[in-house]
Order: sequence, then structure tokens, then C-alpha cells
Amino acid sequence: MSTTTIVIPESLNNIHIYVLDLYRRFAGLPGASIVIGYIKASYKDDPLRSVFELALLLFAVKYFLSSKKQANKPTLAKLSEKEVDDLCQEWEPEPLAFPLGELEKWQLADIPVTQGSVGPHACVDARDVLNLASLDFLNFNSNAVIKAAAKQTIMKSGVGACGPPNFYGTQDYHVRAEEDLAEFLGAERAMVYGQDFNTNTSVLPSFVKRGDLCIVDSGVGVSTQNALKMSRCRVQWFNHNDMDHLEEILQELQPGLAEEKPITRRFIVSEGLFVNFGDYPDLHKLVELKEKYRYRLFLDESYSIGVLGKTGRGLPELFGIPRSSIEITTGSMALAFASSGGFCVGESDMIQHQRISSLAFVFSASLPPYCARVTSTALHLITNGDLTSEAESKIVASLNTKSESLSELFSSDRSLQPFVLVKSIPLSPVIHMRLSPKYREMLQLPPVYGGPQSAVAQAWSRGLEAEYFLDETYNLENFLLSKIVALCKSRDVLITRSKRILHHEVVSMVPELLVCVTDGVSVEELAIAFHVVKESILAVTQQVNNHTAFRRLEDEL
Amino acid sequence: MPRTRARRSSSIKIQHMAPDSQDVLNDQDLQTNLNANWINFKGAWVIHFVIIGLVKVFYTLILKSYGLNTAELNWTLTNLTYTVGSYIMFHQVKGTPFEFNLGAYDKLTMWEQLDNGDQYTPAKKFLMGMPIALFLCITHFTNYSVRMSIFNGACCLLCVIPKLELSHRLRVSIPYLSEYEN
Repeated sequence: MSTTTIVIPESLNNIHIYVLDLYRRFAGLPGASIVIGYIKASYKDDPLRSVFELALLLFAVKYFLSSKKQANKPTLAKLSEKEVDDLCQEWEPEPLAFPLGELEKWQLADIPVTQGSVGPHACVDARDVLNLASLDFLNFNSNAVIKAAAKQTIMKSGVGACGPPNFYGTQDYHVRAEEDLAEFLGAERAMVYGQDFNTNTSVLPSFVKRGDLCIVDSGVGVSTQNALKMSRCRVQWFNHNDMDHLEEILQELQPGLAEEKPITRRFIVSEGLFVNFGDYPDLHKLVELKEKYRYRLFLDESYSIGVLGKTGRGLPELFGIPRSSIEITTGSMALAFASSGGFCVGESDMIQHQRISSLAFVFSASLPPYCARVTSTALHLITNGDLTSEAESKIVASLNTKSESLSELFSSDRSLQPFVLVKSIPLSPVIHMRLSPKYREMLQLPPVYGGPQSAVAQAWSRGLEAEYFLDETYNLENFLLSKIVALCKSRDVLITRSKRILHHEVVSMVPELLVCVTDGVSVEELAIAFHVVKESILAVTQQVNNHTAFRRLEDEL
Repeated sequence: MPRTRARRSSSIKIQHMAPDSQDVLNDQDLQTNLNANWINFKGAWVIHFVIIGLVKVFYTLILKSYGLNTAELNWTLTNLTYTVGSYIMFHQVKGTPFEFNLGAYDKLTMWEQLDNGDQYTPAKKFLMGMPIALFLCITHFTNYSVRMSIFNGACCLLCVIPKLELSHRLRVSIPYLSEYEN
């Protein structure tokens, strides 16, 4: 055995003595004995726990003493009261609308001024004209029964509903209109909205939120485009009515979506009768795809209700598909029903959800009661009083015959073919005609205007107001079409053209001539109108038959 | 066929969320975040003490009826309830219960929504101090019992670690247990 001696180094020994000295001084302070007693009691021969507690305490003290750290720079500037006053003093109101450019002034003069009531025959600019510019397809605006119903309701309940639907704005007429719409369309429930343009922008965002997914036909109207923007969802566009492209997108997205949690709400969005094209999607394929890939279907039937199908029940009737296959159907009552406002039909739960979460329903004024009554009356007129009737509706059949005959005249005319192209299907009461690709090439016009990445879209995203207002070629092509419209008007036929604003839409577009068939115009009158429109088109297009002649139009602006 | 998302790896993944895009930030500024701003009211601070008191009374009654009422067990259960409860409230549940900001807060926990993500604000200092103070008190109430201290310390850390600046917008994904949210 050997003994070992631990030699304490001189320096360490000094520290030891120094610490002991400090302790002795601290113990001498008044009250120190209590602190020392407490520490001794809580130490309990457990150094690890004590160190942990001490570390935690020190951390808390450090956290408490740290100064505030901002995550994001605030987007709102902090101004002193004086600065606010100065800014208010300096402020000069800007005009609500950007002033009309010199090159656009013709558009204002182009608007027809009507006198008296507007039916199939109207007094425009002091001339009696045949009105082929009206969307009152079934001629209910001039219908005595409708007029009497509206008058009677106004006498009884006035012209407004005086509040949002949930807040004194719902009257018996609204409830009846909802019941009638649901019964007519074969849906569980329906609800009416005060304004048709705001129906989509309210219905879609109440179901689709940030992070959800919509696969959208690139032909949808501006109302649906706004709805998508407002919902903040992810949007995938498929080529207009191209079901193969749609399936390709659905297949591509499938593996990623299957893993997402919580499950995203997914919709396929399309229209019954496209407002911008006058054609309809292959509903069989749409329903098949949405069921295969587990999506929901949102269909805007504004133009197809009262027009398509044997009894005017819209696209599903034409395809023989039950309404229940379409999760959300919206539509306008301002077109075929000659009323006002919009509607949404579908399952009860879907409708009930909207009653407290759809912005236009909760916060906007309700539909005027007489408009609701007119809708009910229109539905009864279409179905001859029996809303569930399967018998062919005479009034719808008559409209369809007229639409088909006029469409046939335009699309089969050989002399028109080099200049215009009929885009709409024969059943569409609005005949969409655009300048033919060959003729557009001759005038050196671009294939489409606007759309993603276009100069207008970029100016819009940068907020350059002066720039996004005018695409000169677009303006000039519209002017060319307006010359055709004006020539028709001078020969007593009122037609119209598409009036779309480039920077309001995210999809690309081509200006179109629109000839609208209504039931109040006879087949003979349509034949006369056809000749007038044809001659006008030929006269203008033969006058403007090359690029120089087209550019010369600028002088006329 | 191109994949829209990377395949989920089978290992544990720890990463910070990408910063919010400008339109998400705009939507967050649309309206005061009613889900988080109430925490700055003084009454919201007092309620912590009230809740701890009520929980303590609750356990006293329960434990007494079983004849198990000891200070150690009682305070430990109170601490457990408080820390797990506040973990769920501040660090587990994401988003807001109401639609005010168009879903701009859907991916954030309540702690991350507090004071717009600023660090070391008075409310955050209070909420951080609360579990630490509770733990330090409880070790002393429980007569410095080592076993209880370890358990209470773990509970305390459950509440403290997610509140660190380092853990801000940090997402941990464990296969088959928690999914990584993009």
C-alpha cells in the first residue's frame, strides 16, 4: 500500500480562500442568514435539480430582459397626429374613374339610347328597330301575366325588401321563389341572391378557401373569375371545353392531393352555356371525371336555364343527368326569367351553409319581392303551371327553333364564311360571331388579346393605370365591329358586340358580334334581320380588307 | 408523369416554414386577428391564476374522495393539466376559429399568431414566465421530491421549448404520427 498526497496548486488554493472570504462577508449582511438557510434547505443534497432550477430561473430572467424583436416590418406607417393633419390638408381627391382616353371616346357615343319600353321591337335613337340585342330570351319582359304579377306585388309590398335576407329582408315571395326554383330544377333546396353578378363571387368563396383547389375552364365569365380571385384558392386552368386536357391535369395532381391533410376541398368549375362562347361542356364526361377523381362540380347555368333542355331546366336535362350530380348550380334570374338577381340550388346542407357564410346573402340587401314573384311566375309560365312537368315546354321549344334557324342561316352562308366564324352552338340564343382567322390574318390582328403574361396583365399587376386601359389593336378591332353594329342599326336591326374589358379578366379574349334571339321575334323577321346583318358585315369587311385599310380606321376614332 | 410534390421521406423532418407570401401578409393585415389579440388584455393574464386555482381545488376534491390527497400529487396533477392544456391551446391547434382573414393564419399556431409573430413582447414574456414560475414553486411545494421534480420539469419544458425564438414556425414531422404540412 502506498499513500498519495494531493497537492493543491497555489492558484486554486487562492481562489478557495477568496470564495470563503466572499461567503463570510455575505453572511455578515443583514438577512443573509435567512437566504442561506433557505438555499441549504432546498439544496437537499441534489446538485442536478438545483442547477436545473437555477438555469431555468436565469433563462426566465434573460427572456424577461430581452427587448422586443419584430418579425415582419409593419406594412402600415406610424404617423404622428401632426403628420396625419398635414396629409389630410394636402389630400386632393382623385377621380373615381380614370378619364376616358381620346381613342376610346367613340365607345360612349356607341351606346344606343332607347325610348319607352324595350321589347322585341324598340325605339332606338328615334327609330323603330328590331331588337336582337336583348337577353330576354323568352320575351317575358313584354308578357302581360308577368307584368300583372309584378304590378300586384309592388302594390302590396313595395319596390324593395328593406334589408339583408337574414335581417327582415325575407318575405313570403322570396320563400316561394326558392321553393319553386328547387322544385323546377329538381334540387333539394334553393336560395335567391339580390344580384346575379355577385352570386358566384359569394357562393364560391363560401366553400373554397385559401389552400383549396379549383380546376377551371378557361372560358368562364368575368363573374366566376372574380369569384376565384376572392376565394384565394389555387387555380388550374384547362383549355376551353377540352376534356382530355382536364383529365391530364386531374391525373397530374392526383398523387400530391392524396397525401394532403386536412383534405383539400376540390372543385371543377364550368358553365352551362358559356357567356363568352355560346357553347356547353360535355357534361357526361365532366360528371364522370369528377366522380373518378373525387372532385365536386360547380356549374354556372346563367345562360342555359330556360334555354337548354326540353323544359328549359338547363344543361343536365339536355344530357339526361340528374341535378343531384352537380354539387353547386348557380344562375341568373335576369336573363330568361326577365326578373333580377341570382340563385343557387343544390343539397340542403350546401344551401344552409350559405345562409350564414355567404357574404352577399348575409350582408347585401335582399332581392326586391316583386322580382322574386316574377321568377315564380316565369317558372309557372315555362312549365304551364306544373313545376315538375316533364312535358315539352312550348315556349322553350319555340325559342330553340328560332335560335337554330338563325344560327343555321349564319353558319351555312358561304359568302360570310371568309369573314366571320360562328362560335356558338345552334341551340344558343346568343349567336357569337368573331372575325374569321383568315380575315384576322389579313388585317394582321393577334390571335387573342390579354390573358396571362400580356402587356395589359403586367401593367395591371404593377398598377400602371394609364397603360392597362388601352390596347390599341383591341380598341380598333372593337371599333370595326361597332361599325357593323352601327350599319345594322341604320337599317333598323339592333345587334350588339361583346364589351369585355381586358384588364378586368385573367383569360384571353377575342371581340365578338352578338346577335340575340328572343321569342318575341318571328322567324320571318329573323330572316330579314339575317340579310341586314349579312350585308352589313360584307359591306364593312370589304371596305376594310387589308392591314392599311384597318389602320386607317384610327383616323375615324 | 411530373409530381407536384416531393415524396414524403420516411425519416423525421424538422424544418422552418417558408416565409409568408405578400398576399398572405396583406390578408393578415385585413383585420385585427381576434383569435390572438385578446391575450394582450390584462384580464387574460389574471385568468391564468384563476384557472390554476380552480384546477387545484378540483384535484383536491377528487383526491380527497379517494384519500390520496398529498401536496406532491395534487400540485403535480395541477401542473400537468396547466402545461398540457396550454400546449394544446398555444402550440397544437392551428388557424383561427372564425373567418376574418381569408385563411391567412391557417398554418400558424396561436403562439405564432400572437403579436404578429414578434418576439419578447409583454404578453409572450408573461406566458413564458408562467410555466417556469409554476414549476419553481411546485418543486418547493412538493418538498423537493426528486421523482416529482423530474416529471414537473418535463412538463415545464413542454411549454417552454415551443415558445423559444428558435422554435418559431418550426415544424417537426414524424412519419405515421404527424404529417408535414407544406
